[in-house]
Amino acid sequence: MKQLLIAGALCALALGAHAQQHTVYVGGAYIDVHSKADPLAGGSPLENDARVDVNDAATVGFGYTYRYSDAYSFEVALGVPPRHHTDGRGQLEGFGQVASFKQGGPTVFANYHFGDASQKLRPFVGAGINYTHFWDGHNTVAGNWAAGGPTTLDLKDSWGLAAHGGLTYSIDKHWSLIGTLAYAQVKSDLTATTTAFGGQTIVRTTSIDFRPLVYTASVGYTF
Amino acid sequence: MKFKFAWLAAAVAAATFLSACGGGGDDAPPSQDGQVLSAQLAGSIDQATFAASVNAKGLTPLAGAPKCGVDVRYVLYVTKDPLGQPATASAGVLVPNGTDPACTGNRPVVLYAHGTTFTHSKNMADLQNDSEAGLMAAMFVGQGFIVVAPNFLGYDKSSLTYHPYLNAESSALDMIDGLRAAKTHLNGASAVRPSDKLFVTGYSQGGHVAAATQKVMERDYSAEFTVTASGPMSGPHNLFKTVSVINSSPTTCAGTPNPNCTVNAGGTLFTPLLLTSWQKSYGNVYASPSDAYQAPFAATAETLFPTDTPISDLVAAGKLPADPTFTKLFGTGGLINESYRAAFFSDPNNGFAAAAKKNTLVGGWTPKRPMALCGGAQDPTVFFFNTTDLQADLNSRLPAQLAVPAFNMEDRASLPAGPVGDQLYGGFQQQKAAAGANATALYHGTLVPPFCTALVRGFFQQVLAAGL
Repeated sequence: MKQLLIAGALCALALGAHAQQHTVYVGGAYIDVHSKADPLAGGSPLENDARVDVNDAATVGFGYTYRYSDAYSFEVALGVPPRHHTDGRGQLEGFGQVASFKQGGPTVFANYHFGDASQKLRPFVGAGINYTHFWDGHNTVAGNWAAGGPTTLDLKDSWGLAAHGGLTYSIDKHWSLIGTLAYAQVKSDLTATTTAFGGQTIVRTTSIDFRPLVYTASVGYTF
Repeated sequence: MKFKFAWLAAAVAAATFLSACGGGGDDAPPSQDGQVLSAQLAGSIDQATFAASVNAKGLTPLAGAPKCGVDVRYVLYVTKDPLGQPATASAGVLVPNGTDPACTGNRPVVLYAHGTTFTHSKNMADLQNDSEAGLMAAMFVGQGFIVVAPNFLGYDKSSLTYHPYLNAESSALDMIDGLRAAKTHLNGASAVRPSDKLFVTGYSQGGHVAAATQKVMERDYSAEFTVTASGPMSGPHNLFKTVSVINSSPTTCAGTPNPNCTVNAGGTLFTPLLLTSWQKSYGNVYASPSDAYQAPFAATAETLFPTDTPISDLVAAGKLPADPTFTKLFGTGGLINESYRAAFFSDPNNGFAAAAKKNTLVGGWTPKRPMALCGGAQDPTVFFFNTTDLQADLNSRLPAQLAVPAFNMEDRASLPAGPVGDQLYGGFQQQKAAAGANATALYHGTLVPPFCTALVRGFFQQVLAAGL
């Protein structure tokens, strides 16, 4: 709720002027994950220091920016949901990739653009809210080996603050090139449920802090 | 405008390229055969403590006083199931420690295949509780050998939900991958490492596996491994004959009160393990478990073993015939249907018979390196003809200098000449006599193993000393 209030305030700030423009953009996004996760807790045979590490992923990013005034804009950043491989660490190191999942993390930003309309190159910064939904998570064959049997994965959705900064280069009044670097608070609780030998159910949990840096390079069209 | 769209096209193309190369996508394939998934030093026993332990078990006269202590290591590795799909299995790796020169540097490796067990949690790295692991440690590790003892697919933390019991090719590959993993682990984590000397042995089921391992290593992996010598002990090498003898029991025993008079001791336990293994491997052993098993056993027999449920509980639950000798295979209240038994002999396309032939190690191969066999002629579980049949078959092709001896604990003349042979023969006969009425029950699993292991170790030491 706190994040929503902050987002509302930022949006209100952004909408407090005029000179309206609409921009749509598409390009590439590279999600540079620096995940930290507690050791999996909850059951043999992974008693000691069984951890996971979420890999980077690349995808097609796109979005929409509503520029209410020359200095302020409101932006919705989206992307084709990428699949992240997840590797074992610690006791699971030798298993290699143990899982993968998809995530979609739409983010809304309120942006401030430096300089004025006469400049072709304009930096900007923004702050906002990220919501990340996780789905289609599954263990690999090696992940099931590590877990001791067929395993289902559940990752809780995440809400968090986000910030980004970047540069817009105007080619002409319609076309522009946009580069950004973004960071979002993305944390999720992972629950892995394994059906082990003899039908025994083992539930293991960990909390993952994804700490993603997202690099984007896009082409925008303004109308 | 065309130029502007070029920007867009370039951006999308770049994004697509980024997506393709930047991660995500298909899952990575599982690791390769023999790769170590996890490994650890599970424990360590110094020489003095180990010597006291060996002595307390009464093994010192046979094994000798240990020169070394034992580092107990555990390896989980990748191998393949009988259908060629990746699966995991684990191994105990028992490594000498200590300051004696026999316990340091590069040590010869004994690749050991354990005997039949119905216990899912079988673990040759559990030196405190597994008597078979204890025997191997006393006999070999205490004298400076590294023991690599795979627990086999289907046991311990293996990903396979059944055990490929007496599947010669699958078991050999499991052994080879276990050896690969153990060597990788030791070369990276241990000061005591494998030398280039490799001995292969095993007892009972493991005797069959040991012979199969030598066969497969010399046939398919000669560039990677050279077997220095092997010592298969009490193995069902002539599997087709063994199964034929058992299946002919009602015929052979006609006119007697017991239709199971030629069934081996433990037959009702071995049979579900065997049929499940061959059915999963070849798919034609039966169309349905009820083809093979009598009611009510058909409902659970296919998934009965391996298990951590005590066998007495399985019997009490009506999942096995209530028979203390575990021989009640045929007849009223027995495990196997008469029609299924009869088809073994009458159906020329019988899958059970074909599997038994396929996994028979008598005929079709000849070891390239020295081998010694061992067993006891009164074995009620694995009939001794298995040992003598394999010996005769191999020696019919081998040159005299590679002739395979078959040590028979009931025949002094078959054992090495001199005081060592006298001691082993006398010791065995003494223990058998001391067992009294229990001698038959203890023969295969308790009485023979330490003596045969001592004989095989002596054979290995001779090969080493001779530099063969």
